[in-house]
Amino acid sequence: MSALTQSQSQSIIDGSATQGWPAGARPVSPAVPKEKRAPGNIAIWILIYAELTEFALFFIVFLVARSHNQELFAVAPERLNTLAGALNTLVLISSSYFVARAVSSINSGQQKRAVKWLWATLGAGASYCLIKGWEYYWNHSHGIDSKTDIFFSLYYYLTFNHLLHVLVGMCTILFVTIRAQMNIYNQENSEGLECAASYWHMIDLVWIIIFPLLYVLR
Amino acid sequence: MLSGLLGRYSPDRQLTFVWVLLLALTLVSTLVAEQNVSSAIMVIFICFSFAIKGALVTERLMGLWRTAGAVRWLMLSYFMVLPLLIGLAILFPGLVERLTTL
Repeated sequence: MSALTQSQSQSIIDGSATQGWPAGARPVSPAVPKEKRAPGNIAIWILIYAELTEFALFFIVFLVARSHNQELFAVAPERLNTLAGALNTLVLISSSYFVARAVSSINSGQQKRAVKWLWATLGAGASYCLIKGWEYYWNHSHGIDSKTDIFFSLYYYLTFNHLLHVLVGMCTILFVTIRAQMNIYNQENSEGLECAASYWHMIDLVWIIIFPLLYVLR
Repeated sequence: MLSGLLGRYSPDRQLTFVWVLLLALTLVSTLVAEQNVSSAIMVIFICFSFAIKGALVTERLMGLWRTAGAVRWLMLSYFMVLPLLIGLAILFPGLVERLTTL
C-alpha cells in the first residue's frame, strides 16, 4: 500500500477529500461543529449501547420472575435498606453532575477546575462503594444473602454487577484525572475525557432504573 | 420547554439547576413510595419520574440535547420504552405470567 502524499493527507484533514466521492460512499464530513457532535467517539457509544442492552435484559428477567412470584416480590423489597438505596441514588446523580462540570470546565479552558471536579467524581464513586458495602453488611446482619430467595438472588446479581461497573468506571475516571493533571486535555482535545464521562453517566442511568425497580416498586 | 427556561443562564448554572431538579425528583419519588398511595397511581408516578430523570441525565448532563441523530434518539427512546415496559409489567403481572409460561 503506497503512502499518502502530503497534499492527500492535508485534504483528508481539512475535509476537501470528501468531495468527488460516489453517492452513498462519501465519508461523514469532519466539519461538524464540536458543540453539535455527540460527546466522545463512536466506540464508546457502541459500548454504552451494549451495556444498556445487557442491563435491559436483566430487567426483563427480573420482571418475568416477578410475574411468576407476585406475593414474594410484593413483600421482599420491604426487607431492603431503602435508605442505602436512596443515598446511593443521590450520590450517583451528584457524581454525574461533577463529571459534567469537569467536561464543561475543560471545554471552557479551565484545566485545574476540571481536575477538581474529576476528584469529586471519584469521591462520589468511593462513597457509593462504601454505602453499598454497608448495605451488604446490613443485609448480612439481617439474615439476607443471595440464596435467601429468588428476589434476593436477582437483587444481588443486579446490584453486584452494577457495583463492578462502578469500579470499572472509577478506574477510567482515575485514568483521565491523571491525564487531566498532566494537562493533556484542552478545548481542542477532550475526546478521552468525554468518553470516560459518558461511560460514567451510563452507570448513573442504569442505577436510576435499578433503584425504583428493586427498592421502590412493590 | 427546559431549553427556554434555562437558556438565559450560563452552562454551569444550567447543570446545577438540572442537578438540583434530579435530587428533588429522587427525594419526592422515594417519599411518595413510602406513603400508602394507591398502587397503580404510585407505579405510574414512579415510572414517569425515572423516565424524566433518565431524559434529564441524557440530555443535559451527557450534553446530548445539542446533538442530532441516532446517538441522541437511541438514548432517549431507551428511557421511554423501559419505563413503559416496567410500568405495564408491574400493573399487569398476570399477562406477563401467561406470556412467559411454557
